[in-house]
Amino acid sequence: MAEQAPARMNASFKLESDGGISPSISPLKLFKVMENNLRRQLIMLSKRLIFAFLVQLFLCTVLLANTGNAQLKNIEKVKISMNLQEKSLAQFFKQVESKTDFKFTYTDNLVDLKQPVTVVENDKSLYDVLVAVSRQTNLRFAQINENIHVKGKEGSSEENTVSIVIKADINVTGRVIDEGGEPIPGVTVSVPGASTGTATDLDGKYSLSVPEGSTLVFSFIGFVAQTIAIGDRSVIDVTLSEDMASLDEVVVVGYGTQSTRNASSSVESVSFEDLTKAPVSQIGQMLQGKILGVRVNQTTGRPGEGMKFQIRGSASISAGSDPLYVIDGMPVSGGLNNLNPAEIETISVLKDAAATSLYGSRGANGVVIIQTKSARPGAMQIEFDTFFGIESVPKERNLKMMDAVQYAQFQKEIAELNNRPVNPMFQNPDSYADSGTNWSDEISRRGSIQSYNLTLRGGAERFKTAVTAGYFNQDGVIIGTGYERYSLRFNTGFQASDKLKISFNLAPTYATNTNFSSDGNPYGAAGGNIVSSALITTPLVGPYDEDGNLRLTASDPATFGNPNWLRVAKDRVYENENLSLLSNLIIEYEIINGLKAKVSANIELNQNKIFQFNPSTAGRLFLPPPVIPFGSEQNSNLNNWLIENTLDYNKEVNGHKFDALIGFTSQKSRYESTFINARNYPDDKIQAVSAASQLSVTNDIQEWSLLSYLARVNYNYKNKYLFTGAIRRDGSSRFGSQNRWGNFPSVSLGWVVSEEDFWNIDAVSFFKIRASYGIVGNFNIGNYSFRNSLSPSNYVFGNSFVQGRGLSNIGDQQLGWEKNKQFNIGADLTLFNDKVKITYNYYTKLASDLLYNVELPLSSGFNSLQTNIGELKFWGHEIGVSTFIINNDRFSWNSNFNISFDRNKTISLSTVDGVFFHGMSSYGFRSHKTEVGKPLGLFYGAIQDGVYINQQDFDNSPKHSSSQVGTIKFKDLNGDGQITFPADYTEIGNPWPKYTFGFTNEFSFNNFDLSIVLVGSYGNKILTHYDNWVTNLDGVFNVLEEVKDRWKSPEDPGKGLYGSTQAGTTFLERDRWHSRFIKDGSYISVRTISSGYNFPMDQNKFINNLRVYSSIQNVFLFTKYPGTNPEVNTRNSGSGINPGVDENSYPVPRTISLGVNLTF
Amino acid sequence: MIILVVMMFFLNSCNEFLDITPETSVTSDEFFVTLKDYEQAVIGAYEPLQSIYNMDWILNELVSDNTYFVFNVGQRGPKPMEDFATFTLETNNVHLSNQWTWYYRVISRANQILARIDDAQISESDKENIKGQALFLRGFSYFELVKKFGGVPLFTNVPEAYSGAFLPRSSTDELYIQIISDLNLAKDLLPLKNNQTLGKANLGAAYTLLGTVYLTQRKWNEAETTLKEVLNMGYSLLPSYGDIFMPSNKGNDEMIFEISYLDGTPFNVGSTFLYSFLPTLPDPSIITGVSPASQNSGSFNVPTPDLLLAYEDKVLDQRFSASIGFHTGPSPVVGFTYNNFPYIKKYLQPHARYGETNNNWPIFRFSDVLLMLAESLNEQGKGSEAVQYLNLVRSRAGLSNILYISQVGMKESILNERRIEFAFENKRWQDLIRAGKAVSVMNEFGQKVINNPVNYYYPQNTGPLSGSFSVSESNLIYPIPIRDIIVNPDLVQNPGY
Repeated sequence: MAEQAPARMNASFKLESDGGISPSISPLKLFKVMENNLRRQLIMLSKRLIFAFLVQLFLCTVLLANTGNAQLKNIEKVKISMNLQEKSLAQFFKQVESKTDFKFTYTDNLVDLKQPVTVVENDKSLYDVLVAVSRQTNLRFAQINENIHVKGKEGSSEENTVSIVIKADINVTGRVIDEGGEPIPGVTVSVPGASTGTATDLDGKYSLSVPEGSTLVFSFIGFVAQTIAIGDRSVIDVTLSEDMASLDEVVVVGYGTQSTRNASSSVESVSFEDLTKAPVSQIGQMLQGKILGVRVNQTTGRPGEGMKFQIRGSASISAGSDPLYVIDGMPVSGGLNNLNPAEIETISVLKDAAATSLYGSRGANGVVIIQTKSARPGAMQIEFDTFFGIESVPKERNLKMMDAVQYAQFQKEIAELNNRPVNPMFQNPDSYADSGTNWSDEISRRGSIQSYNLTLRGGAERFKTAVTAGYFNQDGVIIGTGYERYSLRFNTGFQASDKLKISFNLAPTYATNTNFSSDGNPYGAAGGNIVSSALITTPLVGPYDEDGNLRLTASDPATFGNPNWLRVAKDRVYENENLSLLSNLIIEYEIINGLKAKVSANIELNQNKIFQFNPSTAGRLFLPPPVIPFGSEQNSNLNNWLIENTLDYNKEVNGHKFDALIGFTSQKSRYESTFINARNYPDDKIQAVSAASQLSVTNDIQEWSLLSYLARVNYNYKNKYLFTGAIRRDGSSRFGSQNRWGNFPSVSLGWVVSEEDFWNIDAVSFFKIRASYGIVGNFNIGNYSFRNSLSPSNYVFGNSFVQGRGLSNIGDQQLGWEKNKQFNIGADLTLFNDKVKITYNYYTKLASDLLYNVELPLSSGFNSLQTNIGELKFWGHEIGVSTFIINNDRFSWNSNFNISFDRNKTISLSTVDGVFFHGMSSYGFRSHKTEVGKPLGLFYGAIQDGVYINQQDFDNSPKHSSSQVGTIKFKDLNGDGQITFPADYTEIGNPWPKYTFGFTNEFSFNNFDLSIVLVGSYGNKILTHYDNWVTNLDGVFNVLEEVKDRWKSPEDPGKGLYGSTQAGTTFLERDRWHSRFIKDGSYISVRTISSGYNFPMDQNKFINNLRVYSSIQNVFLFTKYPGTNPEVNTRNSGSGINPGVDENSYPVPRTISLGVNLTF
Repeated sequence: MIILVVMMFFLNSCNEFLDITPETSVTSDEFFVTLKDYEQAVIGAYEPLQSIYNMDWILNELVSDNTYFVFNVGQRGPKPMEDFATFTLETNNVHLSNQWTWYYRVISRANQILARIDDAQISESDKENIKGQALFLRGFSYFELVKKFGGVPLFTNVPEAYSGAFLPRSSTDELYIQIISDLNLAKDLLPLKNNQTLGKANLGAAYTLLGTVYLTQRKWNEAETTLKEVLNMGYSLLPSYGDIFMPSNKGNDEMIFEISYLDGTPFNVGSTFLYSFLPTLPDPSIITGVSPASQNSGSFNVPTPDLLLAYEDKVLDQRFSASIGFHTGPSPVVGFTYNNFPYIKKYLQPHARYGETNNNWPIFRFSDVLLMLAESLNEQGKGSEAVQYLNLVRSRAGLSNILYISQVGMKESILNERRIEFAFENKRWQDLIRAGKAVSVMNEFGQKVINNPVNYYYPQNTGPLSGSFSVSESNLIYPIPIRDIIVNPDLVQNPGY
């Protein structure tokens, strides 16, 4: 009770602080990290409009209660009846407040609200009642307008116990402007201690009735609040000045934070609040198109998987192109797939060497720093968020396969062309009109997602906590697939003393999925990949037999024996369970003022189990059921720990600010896995691997360690001249002893030109130029690559199994770091009173000592050697523009556009002739070629030149030994009159986009908001390896509808894309890399449309905020690309090893969802 | 606290913290110390032989007139195998690159042993045995490579670094010099079969191999001398031809060298070739009796009508029924039915699990020594001596003796005897080459296939693709795998590819 009364008194302003717009709460500010000033402003403005509206509503209620100055009542004239026997003072106040318009105000620790009072009066004036209570309680009362102030008695004078002061209200008007003279709408104008207030309108004007002699407080986020005594004035104009501290957004960088204003490196940052508008299952989906220079592709729609980050076109020819992910200071091994998005507070992306060099040997591909929701002091805040969505396959994106009629016709024509009797099944294609099976549809369904998150935050100064509990469930759009996640994060902070602070974070996650093999070629692996396999299954056979039971097989007389894919989807068992734990202990001690020592101990544990069972009813392509059941079980454990010790010193002298950091860290990671392959089960009854009659066990242990020293100095003079220098020295177990240690230094400089006295361009309010240079590394190679190692190589002597050893790897003792020299120059501009903000960067990265597993002649006895082979150059331009186009109190529109032009070129290679071939292998030929002077990984193959239309064309054209009239024709590039490989191969396409962009538009209208996110890519080519099976001319698969326009005879030569179906002539077209497989991958995707509505909640005592939101993801795709998903890359998309290959994968679903967000 | 943690790590030497060795493999620094290490290294050198001989029939039998395949219009995956039979090989053939890889793996592992064995701290007899095996395996592998590809890169050391891995082709002569040198050394080091672990290279194997090398080089006199040594090493012909191939009879008196396999282990050391030789069946257990079973990729290496005709007497010659079986019934291949369809029965032996058998692959049998001896004698004009050795083999098979009439006739008789005696033992292709008949025989055979594809297991209205069976001298060796030519442009391709 004691807590409640004052809280209620301040009800309207409490909302302000909870809504996060009070400038006076500094911890909030500290973590308020946003992409840019303008964006923040926009959010503020929309919030402000909501707030203004709420204030208006509140004022209405006040006006209803107090019908104006003229009717202000005196407590002597207000009559009251009550019957209180030995009740608490609090109850007395409550009764009076309910029966009159008066409110009691008091300071709770000076008034004992529990003390008993007895008031039995009928129609007595309130004055007399108060006098009576005063006698019983030792309290004094003073009426000031509609408030009754309660005070303790001083002395014993009884006359003074109840006093009355009626002040006349006066009407105050005025205008609030900023330093530039522009009106500021939405400024809160309030009277401290009174429930009176308003907000400025669009012209910055306000009008308010307040008691004489009051004090007005003008406050608005981003500006220094002003307190002004009215005196006897009735017009008060105010100029608010920008609060530099508040405008200084803070970004999380490596080993600390930095203000964006004073940052001279290239860092992008987004806060979770900016991202939560669309309900998504994975973090990557939220970030698509949002961050300058960061490309996030969804390569597959498999539930809980497939988001691929690529920073600044990063690519390493083998050492991986994934950025380093750091969660609360811990560089984690797994990606972000299993991290609950609701746990995230901010995400920073470090792009240039100046920002990443503190991650030294791992910084080459950029660093993504995730800060989870931290504990903070203050009132308990409870947030509950839930959403539900339905998912469907965007059918218009499906590959257009032949229907039953076309397919039967296709088979008929193949038989006729090959002089074979036409099977009766294909004799009358038209009889299949309106029938037939679309196998892609058969294995897909309407999926669903649901998510529940509960976050609690609060605490006192000495102990604070934030807890997020989440549950997420996704039923995939392919039958049998799904993902489920239970997560908990427990972040706490203890202020043990003024100098000692201890934080402890614990985040267990349990995630399961049933995503059996779906992506890639149909021939594959143990179970076959269902998406491609189902696609090419005959449309003439359905999944159910005449009795409605699931068939075992789905084959026709022309095809291979195939399983019934629906049955495979249902019967195949795949269980992936993942239990992970991420925990940090951080101890910070302030040794002297400005000097802080910090020790953090971090651990990442991960336990994974994958169980698979393929029953006799689930076969694969070429292997129709019943099959001999097989299965497997894999158990793995990861244990990754890191201890970091840092000293940080901060000092400011006469405008010179220093911040120096030194540190020492050690990290070790150990991964162990055991794989049990179980074959030859006697039946389907027992699935446990022990039931199989043939077991083989393999195991793997991977361990690495890293020792590092690091140091950094930040210096700035009067926020004008900025300097940062950093260095890290890493020693890694992954490199030979000669090259074990690497140094990774960087410097960056910045100049805030607009801070100079001579700067007088009013249109440009902020202008900073910055440049950086540094060296970072890439250590993503195998753990033991530099060693010669021998692996088990077994044999049999007589009837005895004998275990031997064979050299399986030759190592390069000289193996060393892949170094990445990075240069960045950029500028940040803010124009037209923060209406436009522009960021520009130009960067170059020179990757030298490229790590590559270079192919050796097999005659050496080895396949390849991991070594450092050459240099690659990356460079590019990035432009980000944020604009705040329309803003009035009802409607606002802001947009954010970012575009990146990333390029790369091979500078030198130590391989023979400065060339190497890589990527996928088809009958001995690789899909990609890298050559000095050209971009990395160009597609490599023959150029199609139509088909041999007729005998004359055939006779006059160069030929391959297997060519015939009607087969595919290639260009004779070397002019020898023959088609031979690789003599007639060349570069046939560039997988790298000319540019990629993201475009976000946000609208708000009163309480309603709308956001549209577009992403796109232009100029990249994709190798549609799926053509290999969906255009197979042998008649063993269903094929693309367009194959009907193939060569059929000299008179009917088709469109020159597809050749003859004559038996045995089709392999060249199908199995050699050539230009027909190369497609333009440019696209624009309307990735997300989301909208929300904030219900006004000022009246509600329990709910502070109620938001209802909905979204559609993957709304439209504008592209000429014929495949299902132009972002797809079934194999390791960002890697330079085989970029831009589409083998067909799990469809990325269209998701329509609805959610509710509640804050208490 | 900080100081403590920092101290903790400085006390440990940094390099100790950073020295992490693999736990699932050993590094060569720690290896090659004890006798056990060397024994394991030798086992590692034998290991690729299992892979090689599961597939060797493609390169040495399917390519000949002994066997063919069922053309499956739908399943074109096996085209790289078919290309051997139809002489449409491309330079990217996966079976060629596999064999190339595996043989060089044997060579590389042998080279490692040979580089260290002389300085090894192990007993002299162990040293000799190990060194002898390594030399035998290196010689054996180079001999197989030179027969298949001509002059190939000759590695006698393990490359130390990137640049050392690139060698141009050596000449055929240089290879033979190395092979003969290795085998001459090996025969001074290896023990007799009875004193050697079963399955390892022994003295008889070294002599037989060396004799084969001389025979291939048409050095008839050296071949005769070398092979005659084997006659006195305790080998003999088994009375029953079929017994030679029974897994229960591994290491029998007729077997000089064989590639060993074992089924029923978790380590994939069983043989798999049988299932390629069986007819493709949804349930091959109707032939093997082994269930559960699933559809096999079979109908390869199918005995040709020509081979069936080559048997003088299918009743008397016990080799006919021991080698060939027949199957009648439906087939999953589009447009094809098994109608008294021949398949290789030689290796059809009881086994426990689908897809994995206990059959060894015979490399050198005593009857091979006898017939090679007969050949080398006949070539030197010693026909009457030669015929004795030929008749030893004939009489064991159940056939009557023949008389020496002419050198040419004798040569023909030996060639045909070898065809029957070693049917499906991958000898026929090299025999034809050595006899100088490969081009003519295979062109003639090809015409028969083209003219009457149904006889050669083509479904109705299908037949060999255009370009098949234009056999010339250049077909007698295979193309160097294109992958190695791309990686090492110094390698010059064989003519005709």
